[in-house]
Amino acid sequence: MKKKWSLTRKQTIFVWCAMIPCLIAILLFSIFPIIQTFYGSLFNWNALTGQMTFIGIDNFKNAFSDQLVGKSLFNTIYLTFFAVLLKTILAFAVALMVNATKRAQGFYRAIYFLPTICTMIATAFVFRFLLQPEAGTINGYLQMLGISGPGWLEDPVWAMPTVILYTIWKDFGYVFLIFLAGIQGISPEVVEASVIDGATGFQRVRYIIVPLMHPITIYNVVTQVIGSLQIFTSIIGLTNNAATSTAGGPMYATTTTGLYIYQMAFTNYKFGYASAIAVILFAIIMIFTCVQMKFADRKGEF
Amino acid sequence: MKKLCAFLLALTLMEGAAVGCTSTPTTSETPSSSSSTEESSSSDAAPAGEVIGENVQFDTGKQLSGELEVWFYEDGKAFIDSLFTDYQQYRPDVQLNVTYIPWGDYWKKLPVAVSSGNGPDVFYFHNMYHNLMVDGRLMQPYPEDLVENLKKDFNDVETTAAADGNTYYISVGGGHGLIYYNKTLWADAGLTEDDIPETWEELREIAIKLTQFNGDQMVVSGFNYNPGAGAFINDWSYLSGRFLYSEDGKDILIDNDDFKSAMQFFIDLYTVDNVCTPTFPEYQQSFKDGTTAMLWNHPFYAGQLRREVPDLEFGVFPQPKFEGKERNWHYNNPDVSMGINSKIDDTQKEMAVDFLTLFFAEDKYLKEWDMAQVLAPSKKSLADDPDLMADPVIKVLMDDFENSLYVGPSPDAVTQDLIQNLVDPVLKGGVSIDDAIDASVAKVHQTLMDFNWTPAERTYAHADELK
Repeated sequence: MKKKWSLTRKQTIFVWCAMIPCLIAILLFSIFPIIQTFYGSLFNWNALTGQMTFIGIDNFKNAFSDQLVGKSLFNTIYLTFFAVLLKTILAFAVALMVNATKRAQGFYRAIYFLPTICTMIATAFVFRFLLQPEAGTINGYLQMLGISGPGWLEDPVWAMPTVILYTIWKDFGYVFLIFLAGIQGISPEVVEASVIDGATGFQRVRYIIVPLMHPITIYNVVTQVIGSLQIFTSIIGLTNNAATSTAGGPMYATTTTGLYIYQMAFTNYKFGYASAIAVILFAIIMIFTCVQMKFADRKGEF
Repeated sequence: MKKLCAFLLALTLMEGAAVGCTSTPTTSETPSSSSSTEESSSSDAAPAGEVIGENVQFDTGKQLSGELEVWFYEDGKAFIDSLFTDYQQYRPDVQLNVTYIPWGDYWKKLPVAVSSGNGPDVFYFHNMYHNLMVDGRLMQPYPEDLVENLKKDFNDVETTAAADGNTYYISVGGGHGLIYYNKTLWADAGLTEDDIPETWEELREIAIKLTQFNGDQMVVSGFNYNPGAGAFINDWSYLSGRFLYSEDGKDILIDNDDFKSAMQFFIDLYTVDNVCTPTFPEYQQSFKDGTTAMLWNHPFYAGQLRREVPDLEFGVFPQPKFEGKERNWHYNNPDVSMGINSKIDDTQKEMAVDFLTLFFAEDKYLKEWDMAQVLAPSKKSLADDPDLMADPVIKVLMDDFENSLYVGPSPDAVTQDLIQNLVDPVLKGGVSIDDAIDASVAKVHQTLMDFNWTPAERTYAHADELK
């Protein structure tokens, strides 16, 4: 039975005083913009000039008939699915291997975490340079091996897989570190008991570690899904062309919903329309998160 | 191990810091009286009491006091700084605060600042943001008496007037697309000045000669317009003898045989003549690197080349015309004058107009601007300026200026729509030209649906020659 907290009047005042600055910040920078986005989605709205004309649900009607909204949502879900899946599997596998390594664990932790703390725009530019199809280092090496490298970010088919590769490289360290901490938190007695019972390495992972890591896996998946659905900066860094001021190409192959919202708001200055798409994205993230939480709840461990 | 981790962390943080150093921060400056005196002596500022200018006149002895806030984009510092220094000298009681902002940030910060009432009194402006700033009532018109005098001193003042009849900015210099060529690669291919092409068909032959391969790999592109043809795409309709926009400005008129024929020509340069590939490095940088022999670009690029790769020997020539066409029509992309904040009071406005009056009255500021940005001057007194005409790029620009038409304040988003929908789908996605045109027309219509503007194409002197 949970113990009920009881505070004196003085303590209650202190708690509120301590919370008020945070509450104000959350209201100002999170709650108010969300409400404003919902409200603005019903208007033909230019936030920069303050001009607002009520148009009801027209922005939503336009969004549902806009092929690019559909395309950007597809791109976002495509990216999210593969990036999160591959990151999770890879990070879990590497975390297991590093955990099994008795020496230099700190070194591996530092090496794998390094990309996470590097500046995203800087690393994206380096990737672009390395992956330039005809003058880039990667295709240069492939050519030496007699392989004709793909067009990477210049090819509509390869562009999104390339973004996924970059995302995995960039975020892998964070997911890995959470997994490693989780694995190292598993009671050694449980693992030792399974060894005494004759469990093989694979069986230990399958029947001991994976189930015990379930809450951590759910945490990693939920946070990675939310992050991937909102992806924006890395797409700009990888695909923005200074000469033409375009991003999300070629042929919108890397235009995600986050980027499309930005372009509608800050290139076309259609803030109402951008807000409507943001509301749609918000609903999708909400549904994804609820499904994941429900799934986790069923297991009774999150 | 801890030391190693600490070292790696430090290395990473240093990298982050280094990256931070490479971006250009916003800088604020107040031209000091001492430095202004020094610089003014070297920049020959007129003595106090003298009146500068022919019709637009600036009285150097006028007494004004207060504080004037001016914003300009970072790269403009090179050619606009003397104006600030001189103005500070003429008006010592005006506290002039100048802020330079990198181009990318400028257009995000300016509208927000003006809209919230914290914007500068006077600011650099580009007419691609006309809809946002003028129609959004963030700028106020120039006073009528100033406009009347501007009409006497400048060309095309009426052309850039807004739909409400007011003048919010004027052209300070015109620019249109030119063909740049690398003189070294040109000579290596056995070409001389006599080979400069007059038709696109001739240019095709030259581009083939200039293209170089190492085995199967292209090492020099003869003519490069990656990615997606950039702003060059806007000229294709004019080159084919057609207006680009419908009269109401809601649609683009590219679904016709003339345009398709022109587009097919430019696609064939890649797919048939093999003078470039869609994945060859981007045109502007590869020209600087010496791996692109020819490209289309605006004249500002000449200024960029001179600053960034002074050793690169390049030349320019006018865009060729298609066989059977009377002219090589193309669009004029002018630089325009600074704007006045709509939210300032009369006292601030008086200072803002006074500041702009000096800019318009004195030739040297416009001349410096045109020289740096490589523009054909719109001020009548500079039309035959020997220094401007001595610039080979400006000379080519001026000689070919009759064939350029002012489009009006068309939104940048249209160019971006065309880049994504027109060329890349054909070159990279295997889409047919017809389908790419259909998709482009639909996307641009969506963009222009809520955009209020009137194209100025049909005010062009030779508009009757275009369909």
